[in-house]
Amino acid sequence: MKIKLNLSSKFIISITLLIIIVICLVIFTTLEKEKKIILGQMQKKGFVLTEILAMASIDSLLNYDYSTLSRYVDTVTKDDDVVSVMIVDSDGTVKMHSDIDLIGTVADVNFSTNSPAGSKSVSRLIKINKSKYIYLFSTPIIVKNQELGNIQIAMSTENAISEIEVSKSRLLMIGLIALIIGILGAVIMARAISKPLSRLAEGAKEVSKGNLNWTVDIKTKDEIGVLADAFEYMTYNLRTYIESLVKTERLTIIGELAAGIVHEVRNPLEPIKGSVEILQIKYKSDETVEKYARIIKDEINSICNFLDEFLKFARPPDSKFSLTDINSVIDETLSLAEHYIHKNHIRVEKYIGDSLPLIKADPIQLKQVFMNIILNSAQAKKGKDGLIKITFSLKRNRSLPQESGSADKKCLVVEFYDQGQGIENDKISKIYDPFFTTKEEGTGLGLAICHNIIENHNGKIEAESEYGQWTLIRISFPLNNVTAQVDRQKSE
Amino acid sequence: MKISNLFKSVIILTAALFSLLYLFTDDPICAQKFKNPLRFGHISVEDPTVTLNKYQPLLDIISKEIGRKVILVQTSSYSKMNEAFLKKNVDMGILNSFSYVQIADKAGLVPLARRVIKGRGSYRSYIIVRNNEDINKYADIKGKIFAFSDPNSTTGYLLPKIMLAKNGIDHKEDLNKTLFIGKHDSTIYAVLNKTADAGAIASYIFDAADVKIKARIKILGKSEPIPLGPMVIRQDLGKELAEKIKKTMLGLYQNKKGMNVLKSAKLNRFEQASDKDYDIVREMAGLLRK
Repeated sequence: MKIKLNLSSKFIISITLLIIIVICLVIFTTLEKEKKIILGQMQKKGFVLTEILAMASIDSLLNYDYSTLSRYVDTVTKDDDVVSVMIVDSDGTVKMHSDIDLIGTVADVNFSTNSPAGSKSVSRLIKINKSKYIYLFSTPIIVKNQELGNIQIAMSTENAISEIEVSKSRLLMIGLIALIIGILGAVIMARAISKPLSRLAEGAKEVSKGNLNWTVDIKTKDEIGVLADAFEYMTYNLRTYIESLVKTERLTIIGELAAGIVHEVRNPLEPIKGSVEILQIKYKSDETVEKYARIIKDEINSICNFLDEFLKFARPPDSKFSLTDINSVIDETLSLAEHYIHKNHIRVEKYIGDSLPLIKADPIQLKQVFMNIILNSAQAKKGKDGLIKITFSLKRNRSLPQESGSADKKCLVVEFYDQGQGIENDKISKIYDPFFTTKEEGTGLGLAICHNIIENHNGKIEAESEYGQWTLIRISFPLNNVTAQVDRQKSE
Repeated sequence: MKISNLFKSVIILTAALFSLLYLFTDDPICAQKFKNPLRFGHISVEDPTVTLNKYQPLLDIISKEIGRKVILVQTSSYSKMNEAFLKKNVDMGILNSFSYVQIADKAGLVPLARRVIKGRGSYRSYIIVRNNEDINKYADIKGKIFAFSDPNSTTGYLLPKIMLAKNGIDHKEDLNKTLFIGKHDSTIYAVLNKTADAGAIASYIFDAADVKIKARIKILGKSEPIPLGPMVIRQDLGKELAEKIKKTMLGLYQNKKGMNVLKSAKLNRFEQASDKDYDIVREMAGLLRK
């Protein structure tokens, strides 16, 4: 069975296991050491006690001074660890014992004679049960190489073991506290890591569902913060990509539809126009015929114009990009529109800030864009006279979200400013929509076409306006590496 | 904690050793180092430490009464205490009856008072054997090892010797071996630990022994009661001093402080004593004055 664990559980469990292992190791080694030390001390004490008692007992044994021996035995037995003390004579009879009932009996404990080097004392550890040991010590009582008997002291390790137990429980307590602190720390750390991660995961889920406006809102400066930034940038790109995809699709459908409609509508228009011309020739002197025939012809021309425009928008002709001087494109456009401008008393001012680089563009399409904008401006004039200011400049590209290296990218900006009627606030976002128009004879396709062309150039068209005061159309073309290089070559 | 325990044991043992060395020194120079102290001798019935603990409050109260320091002098045997009295190295003290009748005249001693223990001013000698041993009558002692306490002891030698003789046992001929153990409390242990098969002991020492010890011992025979040994003082120290101490001793049981002193010495009180009381002992010892 596979257990599914989330990141923070894994983190917490591994930290906890680590702490437990460390604590166990510490407790185990500490207790072992302590046990060694305590048992070592006990052994030393046992030897010292038996040897002193053996020395002290000599006179009393020789003088039958058993009351003194009794006192010695009582004194030694007072020690917490001492279980029993006995003084045995050379025949093995217990001459004195801490337990009065055993005085006069035969000692049953036999010590092996192999005593440690340099000492006549021997010790032996006897296991009583799992946690209880008895330490036996024996020292001979020797006078002039003759053994009078021996001293035997039995000590219980119970106190020592209980001391070890105490420190064991103390160590366990400390270990437990360390474990709790460790787990708390692990939980806090796991939260700190997993919370933004789960937010990212949630964001990814939302985005995959199609909610491209989701923001993860993580402001940390670590790797997760970087990840969150990358995620947001990715979402942004996805959003714009999908938007352009939708638009392209819509335009493709419109284009196909339009081509069909234009074809079907245009076909009958030529015979109608021909028929009207025939009527004009036949009834030359009839004023009524002449009058209505003209109206019909004008309207047919108007329909043809509209159909041309529409076709241009719906099925834009293939762009022919070349390195283009924007300024000369403007000049050409102005000379084309000269007649209309003069007629309407409009002054055009042109400002060129920097030396302008060439850009990769289709001059014919750009001419169409500029013409559209200039004519719109001209038509929007309020009084008798009008003014159009055209400004060229190089600016840093700030309109796009930050991406690596984007700080170096500059763009060429052309601004068209007029002091015309302006555009109402609620309508400014719709001006690029096809068929949106404020003019009576407008097709609503002019700016839509402009928008398409500029986007086709990777550029951007923006409009700002104050209703009744002024309008500003800003077109920016990004300067990619190629154009920048060309620019440098040109200036050399 | 363990180490301090160890040290405690070592210190107690060495202190006991040194105090013994000091107490067993019979050289009275030790005693003279104090500024004219009154030297109080006590026969070696029991362990010296036990005796010192029992009698220190009594010495203190005498000291307070006469305005002189009183120190305890102990010896390793009865005979050495007798010697000390004869050499005037001891001024006063408590003697056993046998010692008293032996040296009273020669050392010029007068009895001040007599101890009353467990309501009696007299005591007996017990002959004791191990409970589980097949010794049920005096005749069974023949061929065994017998433990006397001290050759100068009344209940530890004089009386048991007479008791054995009365029951047809000559202690020199009929016994395998006779031992002089020294102190009465050691005699009990000697019988218990099979150093001896039978032993003689003062009744009040046996009665005060541990219940567990008494449970393993049976009493084969008891002597006639004889008066407990007297508290004595040297005649040449003057009647005034003797009277002062005598009055104090006899009055101890009448006040609370005195009762505490008696309690410590395991005595009920002191009673009037006269030299004549000990004639019975003199008779036994064959020392009756003509």
